[in-house]
Amino acid sequence: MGVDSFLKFIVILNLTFGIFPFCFSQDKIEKETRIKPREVPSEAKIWLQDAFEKIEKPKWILEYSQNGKSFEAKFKYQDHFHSVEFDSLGNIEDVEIEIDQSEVAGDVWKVIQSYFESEFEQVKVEKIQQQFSGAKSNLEDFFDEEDADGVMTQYEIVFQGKNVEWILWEALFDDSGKFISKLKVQIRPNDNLIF
Amino acid sequence: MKKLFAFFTLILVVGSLSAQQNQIFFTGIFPEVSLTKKVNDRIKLNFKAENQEIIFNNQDAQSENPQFTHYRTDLMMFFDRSIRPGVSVALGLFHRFQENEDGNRIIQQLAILQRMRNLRINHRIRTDQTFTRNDDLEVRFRYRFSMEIPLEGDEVDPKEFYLVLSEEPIFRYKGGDFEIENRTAIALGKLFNSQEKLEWALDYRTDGYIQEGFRTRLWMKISYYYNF
Repeated sequence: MGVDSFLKFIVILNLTFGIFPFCFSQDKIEKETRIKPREVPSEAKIWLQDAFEKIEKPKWILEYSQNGKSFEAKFKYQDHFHSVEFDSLGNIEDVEIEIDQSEVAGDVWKVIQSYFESEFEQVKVEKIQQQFSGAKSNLEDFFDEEDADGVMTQYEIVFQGKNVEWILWEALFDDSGKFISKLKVQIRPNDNLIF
Repeated sequence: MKKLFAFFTLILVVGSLSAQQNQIFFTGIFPEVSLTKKVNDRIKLNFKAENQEIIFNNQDAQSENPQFTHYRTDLMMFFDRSIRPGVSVALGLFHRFQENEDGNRIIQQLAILQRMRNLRINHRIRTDQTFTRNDDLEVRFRYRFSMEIPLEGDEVDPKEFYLVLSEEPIFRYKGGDFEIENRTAIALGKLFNSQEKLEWALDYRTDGYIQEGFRTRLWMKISYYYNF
């Protein structure tokens, strides 16, 4: 009875949902692969060494997305997680640094907080990243000489916001804390962990 | 990470070897299909079918092994409601086809997902009640800790492989007797696209710690997950 009933169940499911013909269909590919430093354009390695003189062995990731190929270096520097993104030729694109709420300037945090208060009943901040973008030489000067000319600073904040329901958001704020945009974060299905 | 992997493998190997000597031991295959329908941002419905077939049983005469004996087929359905991102409660109904009387079960569940920089940890707390005709009511409390580790990059992306390690103690009360069961599993998974994944697992189960008859079961599991 067992085997028969199991097979019957599979047939019924197939007829009901018509799912199996679609098994393993393709999605757009976004892929991250860990790579060795020798596979990274030297341009990128030199920039990283000039800007952050004392980092030890950054983790190099090769990324493929709709926007093409890019390289990312991930490392911990002065107790903060850094992620530095380069284009396919090794030119710097931006730098992201994970920071604590207490490290956001007080007046900036006030503006961000007033946005939270006006839009949500309750907010729980999960992650704050300070993003720096600009021309290659400006970014380099910023990190080794603290010269902020030509460097744009933004804050990317992942937070749970509650109105009727709790929803996970990723929002962008400018250097004064003014809200720019937000998008809903979808958690990748965890059916294999919960059922 | 390598140490953790080695530890899990050791538990599986040592456990199954010792079990084969004098205690009840059987092993077999365990295919499973899980379909999850997202009704809206809060509600999910899950349908799951599992089938366990014994290939080797040390209680049977040597001539009977290897065998292909049906052990159990389980059908279940869960209604899952998210209460916060990564936190949900679920109610499940379950029917078991087995030798003698079939069983029915109701399940209550709380699941908490921790998303970390490069792995996900899930805590699953369940209570369930099993009703089988001509048998006592069985109530259980179980906690499953599972860890999903990407094998390529910091996140599991389509076409990438990952590992899932899990550990679950189960406390059972039936007809005045208390019993403990333990389940340890290691799975290699592949995410094909945002909807589909396949996992190959070794699932090692032990019970009979308190009552007589220590028993070990080792399942070679293959699980297909589809989200729509």
